[in-house]
Amino acid sequence: MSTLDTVREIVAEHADLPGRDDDPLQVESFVLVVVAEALEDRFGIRVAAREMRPENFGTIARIAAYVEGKRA
Amino acid sequence: MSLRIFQPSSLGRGARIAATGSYLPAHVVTNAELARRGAPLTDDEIVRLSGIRSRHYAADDEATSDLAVQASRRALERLAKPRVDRLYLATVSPDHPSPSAACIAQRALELGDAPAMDLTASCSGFLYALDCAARAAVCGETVLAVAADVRSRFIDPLDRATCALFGDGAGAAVVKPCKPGEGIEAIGLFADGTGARSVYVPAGGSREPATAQTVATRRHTIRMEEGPQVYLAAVEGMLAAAEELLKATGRTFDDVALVVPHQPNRRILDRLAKLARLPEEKLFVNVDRIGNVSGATVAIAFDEALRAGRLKEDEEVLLLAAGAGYTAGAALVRIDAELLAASRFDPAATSSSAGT
Repeated sequence: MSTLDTVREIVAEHADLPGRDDDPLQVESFVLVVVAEALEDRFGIRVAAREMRPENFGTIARIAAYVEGKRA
Repeated sequence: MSLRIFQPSSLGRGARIAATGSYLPAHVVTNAELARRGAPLTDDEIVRLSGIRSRHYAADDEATSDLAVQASRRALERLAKPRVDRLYLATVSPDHPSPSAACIAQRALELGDAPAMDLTASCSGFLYALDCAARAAVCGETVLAVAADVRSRFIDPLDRATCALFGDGAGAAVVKPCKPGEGIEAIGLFADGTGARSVYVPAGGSREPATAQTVATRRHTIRMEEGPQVYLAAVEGMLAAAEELLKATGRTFDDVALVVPHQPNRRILDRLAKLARLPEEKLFVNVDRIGNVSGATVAIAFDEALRAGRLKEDEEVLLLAAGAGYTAGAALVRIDAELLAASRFDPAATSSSAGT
């Protein structure tokens, strides 16, 4: 499963998926925390407070790119 | 993070906590009551999001200084010969913009001409007060370090992000001189002003004075616009403060009998425990019963931990906090026999006022 597929799966567990991967993620702020912690568990990464920004968590595609960057 | 660490023994002196006290207002507000008052969250949602089931709210005629006085009396009543040379009161919700709530409490406690002042460090308030108190104690003074807040007066009941998190309360500690190496072994503090608007009350100060408009738009209430970032920053702040203080004192988490952290919400505490690899029994938790009591949280939790028998003589406790500002702090305290004996005496049993 690709990183993008896994991110979609994680987000879908907690919120409605947007139509496209680069559409803005319309979720309650707390959902982002739950998603971030799920990403940490799944990918073995640590999300820092300063990284919790729209550039990294604004869309499904950005989350996937962020995770790829953390794992690189 | 780089803590400014104070170790009394480095001056060839010591400061110890001789007694603690805490006070929670009588009115317990459950999640169900919040929902009845119009909160846009159900009981289940509040528990799922924060782990909080209830909190205490001050009565209409109670202000922050009243809570501080109650907690202080309980601490002082636990001492055979109570004495106070100086009073520090940490709060972000003083009775008035001026004068200080500390001066009002000083009068009520009949502390004579003891200097009294407020200090503001948000949820790290008690640790900041304890640092000031320890520095005065090594100069020979007996100091009352108090933290008290009535955050219920600054809550927007319609704000999903904050309406269920905060409660009211106060905690106090009497800090006295002692031999080097006893009592407070080290305190480290930290601040990072880049987080100044992470959790804040926009209006009512000199930046945005109170007007009919600011009240109508509830800008005099607590705002938390970047919740996920604040959540992660709270854990990072407490973890970094703990690790740095422990390293500076040659300790690890294994050496500490109990960690008493600030309690913003249960999920933050679970994340802290996970990242620090702390077993459940080593973390003191009361957020489910009293919510986030801002700077008073750690003081109340420490008093409760002592009175619950969670600490034994010669054990070390790690007090931890992080909060708006950003601020953070940690203190390593060795428990002594006198403090334990004081904690076993319950002034509330001989008092008619409600509380912890």
